[in-house]
Amino acid sequence: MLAALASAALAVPASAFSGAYVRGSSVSATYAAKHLLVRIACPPGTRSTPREGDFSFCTGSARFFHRGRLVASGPFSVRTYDSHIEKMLVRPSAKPLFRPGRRPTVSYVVRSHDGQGQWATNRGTFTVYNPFKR
Amino acid sequence: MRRLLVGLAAALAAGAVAAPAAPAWVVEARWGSLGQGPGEFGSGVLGNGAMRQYDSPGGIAIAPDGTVVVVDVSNNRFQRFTRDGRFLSAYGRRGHDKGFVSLRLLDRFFQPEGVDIDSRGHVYVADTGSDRVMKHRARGGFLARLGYHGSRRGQLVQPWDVAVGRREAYVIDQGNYQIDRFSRTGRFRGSFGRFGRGLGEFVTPYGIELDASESRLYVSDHIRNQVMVFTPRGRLVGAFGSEGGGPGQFRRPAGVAAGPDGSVFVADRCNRRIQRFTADGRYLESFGRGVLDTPTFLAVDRTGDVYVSDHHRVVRFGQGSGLSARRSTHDGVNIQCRHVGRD
Repeated sequence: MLAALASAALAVPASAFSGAYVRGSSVSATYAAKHLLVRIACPPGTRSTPREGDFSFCTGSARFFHRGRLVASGPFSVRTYDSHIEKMLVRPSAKPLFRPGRRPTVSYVVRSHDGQGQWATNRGTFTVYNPFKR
Repeated sequence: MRRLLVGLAAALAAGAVAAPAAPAWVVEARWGSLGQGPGEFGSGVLGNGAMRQYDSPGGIAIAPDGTVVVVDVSNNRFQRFTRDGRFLSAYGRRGHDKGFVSLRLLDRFFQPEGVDIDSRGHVYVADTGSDRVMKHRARGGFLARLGYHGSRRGQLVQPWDVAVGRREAYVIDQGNYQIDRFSRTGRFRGSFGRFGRGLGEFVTPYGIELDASESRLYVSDHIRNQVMVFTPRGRLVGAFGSEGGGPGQFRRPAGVAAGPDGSVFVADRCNRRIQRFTADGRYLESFGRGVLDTPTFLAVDRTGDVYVSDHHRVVRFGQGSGLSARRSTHDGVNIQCRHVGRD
């Protein structure tokens, strides 16, 4: 009986951690396509147990793919309820992809944890543009 | 023989009784109130994440000339006082550096927290909301910037406190769950620590202090209710504390400070007290209960007096005659401890 109660208690899900995600459908590249400037957001409700909001983050890494090939990646840490533009390093072999005038579609995988042991992975796509002139 | 032993025990007991007790810690000065003017600390509207604001002054540090520097979190500045609380100057105003460095923002802060002062009197402020540490002259004037937003080497997310030694500055990089080392001019030297609940790992690193001999670095972890001791290069030497209200236990430990005798003071925020330990983490005493509401950061001067940033004010404890014993708490304002159990 006790074991059943204990397992039931364990089965109760903590408040869901939805994880960090990329905000927006369009992302810019920096000069010479060295970085992608990606706005990563950390939604509210990332706390599995009561905890001061000041001290919770979405921390993890993001990877970006074009036609299945890794083109950029980087770590990040964003405060809960906040979003921040993060610089993601473009692989040298992928820099021509983000030259001015091109608008490739990139898929992303963002994996993050909430500082309390909960992990989440979010996926999606966006378009990259380079604001600099050719 | 037995009589001899009993007599010896009695003599020892009598000696113990006759030995002078350590003087009690009493409030020797207290200053500050809610507001935005000189000598005031503001504003007290609490929020979450990027919207957060605080009801207490932040970091506190003692300059080589004895003046007391206190970070005014919500008013985005630091203020200088004499040791008795007379206002001297204030520096800084609101400005948010979102990672795109602007010269316009060099004299600005966004919800700064910790502070420390080097041997030349230069002030290092953890500009928490702007993810950087700013080095200024005591009366104001930008000197250097340590770190900027990011999660790569030498980058910071929510730097909460800073400790400055003769050669290096150590920064609590709360969002990246590590301690970063910088030269005093801002060059990145290395980092240690990572997220976790194991030895030498952090969940919410909060306060940091380098002892006078610069051989030990004390780091409090707010959520783990623990103080960890490292060498300056990041090797874990020891740890002390657990959750609770008893001697040597913590509920949300915050600032850490080392005294001139090597003892370590910890602001035990949600137990509303200061605890004192030996350099090795053995509990010695606690004080401030009934006086403090939200002890957050603290500093110890050369005479051993302890300065604590509390609710809208600074309290100086000493072992002298003290002020009147009037109770002066603001019960019910300790909002940030609302989730934390009490005895």
